[in-house]
Amino acid sequence: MSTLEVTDLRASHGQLNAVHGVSLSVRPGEMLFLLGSNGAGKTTLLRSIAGDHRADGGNVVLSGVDVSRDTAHHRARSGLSLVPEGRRLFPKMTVRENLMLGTSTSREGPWTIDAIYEAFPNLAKLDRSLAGKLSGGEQQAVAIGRALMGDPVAVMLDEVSLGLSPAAVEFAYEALLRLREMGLALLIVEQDLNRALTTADQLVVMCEGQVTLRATPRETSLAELAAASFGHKKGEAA
Amino acid sequence: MTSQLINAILLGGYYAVLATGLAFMYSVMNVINLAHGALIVLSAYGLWLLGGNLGLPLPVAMAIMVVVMFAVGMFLQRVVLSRASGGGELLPILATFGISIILDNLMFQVFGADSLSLAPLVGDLSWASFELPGFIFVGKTSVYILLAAIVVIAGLEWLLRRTALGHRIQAVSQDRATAALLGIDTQRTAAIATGIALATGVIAATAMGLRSAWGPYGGSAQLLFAFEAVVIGGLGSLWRVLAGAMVLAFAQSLAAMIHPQGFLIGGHLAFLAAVFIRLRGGSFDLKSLLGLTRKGATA
Amino acid sequence: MSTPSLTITRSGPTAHVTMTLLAIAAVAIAVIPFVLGVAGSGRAVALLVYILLALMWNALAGFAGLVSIGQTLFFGFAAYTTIRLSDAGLDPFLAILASIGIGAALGWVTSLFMLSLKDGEFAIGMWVLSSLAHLCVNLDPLIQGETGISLIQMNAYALETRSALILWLALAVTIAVIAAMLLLLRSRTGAAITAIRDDELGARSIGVDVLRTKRIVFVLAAAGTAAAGALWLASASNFQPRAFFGVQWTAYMLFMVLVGGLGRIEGAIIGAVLFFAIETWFGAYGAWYLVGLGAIAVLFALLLPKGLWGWIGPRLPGEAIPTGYIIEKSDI
Repeated sequence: MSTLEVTDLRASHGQLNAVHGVSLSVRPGEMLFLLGSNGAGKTTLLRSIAGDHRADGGNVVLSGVDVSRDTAHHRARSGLSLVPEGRRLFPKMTVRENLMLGTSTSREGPWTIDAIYEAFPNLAKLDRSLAGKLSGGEQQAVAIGRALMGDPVAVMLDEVSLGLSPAAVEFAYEALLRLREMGLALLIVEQDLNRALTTADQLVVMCEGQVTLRATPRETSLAELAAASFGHKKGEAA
Repeated sequence: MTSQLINAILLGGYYAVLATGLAFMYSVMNVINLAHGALIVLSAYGLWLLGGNLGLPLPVAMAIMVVVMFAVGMFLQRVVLSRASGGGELLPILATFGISIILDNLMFQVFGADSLSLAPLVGDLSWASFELPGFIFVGKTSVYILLAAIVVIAGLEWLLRRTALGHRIQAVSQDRATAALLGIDTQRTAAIATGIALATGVIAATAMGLRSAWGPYGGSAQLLFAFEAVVIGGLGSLWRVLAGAMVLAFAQSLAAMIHPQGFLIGGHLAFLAAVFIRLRGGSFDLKSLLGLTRKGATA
Repeated sequence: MSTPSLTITRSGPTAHVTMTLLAIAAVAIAVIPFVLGVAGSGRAVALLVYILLALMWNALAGFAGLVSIGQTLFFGFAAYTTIRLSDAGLDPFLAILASIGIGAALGWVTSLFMLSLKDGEFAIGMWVLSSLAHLCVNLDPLIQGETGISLIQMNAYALETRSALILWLALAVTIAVIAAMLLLLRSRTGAAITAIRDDELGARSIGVDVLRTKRIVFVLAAAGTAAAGALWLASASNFQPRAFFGVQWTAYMLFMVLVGGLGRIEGAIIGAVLFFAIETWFGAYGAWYLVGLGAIAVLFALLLPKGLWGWIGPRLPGEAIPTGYIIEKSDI
């Protein structure tokens, strides 16, 4: 059974349709990469799945339970977590305070502050630092850690590597791979197609609110992913 | 002179109690609750009913009213403010002002125009005083009110900075969407914060009722005092409210020495001075005040 | 071959009907002294003062996004300066006109520092200023504190003459204010106002001078509210500071604009007329009447934030009071 099952999700910004009926499913221990150029509707899709943006239609099922009618905080409490674009930490709170906010889901699970510091050793010494003073990579680690503190079953990450140094990106993905081993369902928005090809279990490419390609890395190529990002369906000439 | 100084400090303590709830709501919910004064007067009537009519001891009456006003605050947030804040910055101001008009006139209809006081509920305490060296007598209630102000501010600061609830309240006030994504029930958290603000109003009501008599329309005066203390102190930590309240009390006391009717005027002038200083970043530049400096030339 | 041409007009049929109705209403009000006498004139002045207050508060809140709880600053202070200037020997009618000018000047001075406050701070900061003006006026020995004083200089005119003159002055001021607002809304500043009303940050980003625009509206509102205060004094002829600086006036303004429709001239006028009717029928109920006004205003704010005109306006073909352009394309 899939951990996260999204069916025919539609969303809009006022008059503008941003997502036209997207379906996808992520199983436990699976890493799905959502690709596409800017404005393809990826962020809106993620926010609609999380309940942060009101969907116009479609269903979101989490571990077999339909959460489509639930508010964002109820979905978070059901185990669905979103690490938003730009991390959105609380800059005037310390790292520890930010992490502790993650426990607002009141879920049972393996994650504690100590477990987070074990997974992200560089955060341990920043325990009392203000989140606003951290580097981009450290902030991303706190954001992921904050999501984990809620003991989710599925984590969605928007623009994981945006604004990070190559070393920080490497570090973030090492952590994400460990989460995959732990059986979490991961839905990742990424600009770096190479990274997607080497890391993903499943690839979904969107353009103008629609899915233009679904594949596993073995079935596709960099050229095909790039073409799909610009709206060419599979089989069409790029 | 010394006794006037001490009295001004004690008066400042009273204003700090008045202003804390207002400042808490403003800093946490970004709402200036124009019904703040009317709600304090409402709490005072509640204390008067429980203490005077039912004969309950004042601490018991206060405990009951804290629970009641907490519930009123949650109701206010859920029914009025959450709806109003969806419609821009103007609606919460309009809605809370409307509520203050409703409350003022309802209280006039229900309780009449008579001035009431809570002093009879505490017996001897209302006129008891501490004697300081130099034959200076200080009213005990005023001292307790100042202590209450310090305790309330310290308590709220501790709640905001040190507790999980406080961190959730801060999260909701800084970034509601992200707070919700973390599993925080933002509506409920906002309602609790409003409840806390109104519950502190019960302590303000007790202070008001012990210091002086009040009537049904007394809310607007209390609101202005509280607001002036908040603006003079500036936002940030709630301790600044205590500082602002002290400045307000000093300005009023000083103006009252200059002119018998100068008391309130002095407070208003202190408020204006605070606005000026904040506006000019601490410097009084007449040119920029009159808008004569060109934009960009200051960069 | 036909070339398409664009016809640009200001007003459509709806506007012609509204303007005709407003003109008829103005004429009807102007003849009241001959038909309904002194008492009728007094009520008509009250209606015009309400319309002025609603228009001005709406301009402030609806156009400039400034909610003020203390417009009584201008209302009360204008009444006071009218008393003061008349006492100094100026003809009371000239004193009224001078008070309008003083109100505008006070508005300009006030705007220099008050406009830097945001939202709630501005709202209640204005209340502090109003309260300060009230206290200072009470210090004037001429006013005798809350006892107040009469505008005895008005007695130079016979009762009938004076009530008719006050009404006509009120009518002229109201028409002038409406005309000024139309001119303002149709000017470049009007485009800036609309931009700010729709999206203040966006307006700032495309180079709209937000502060200047707000200041223009604020000064206009100060002048109009001052006119209302001076006219109310002329009509009531008694000046008691509490009756002019009282918070009930703010409640009235809030009610009229919220019920009529925030951000629309039509809404303000409808709100004022409605308030006038409610006051005529229920004003005697005192505090309960104010409870009702407050409750209705809050309900409108929460349930129908665009007011009655927000409901009526979109159902009419075209703007009733035209502030925009109508562009028609036709083939020649």
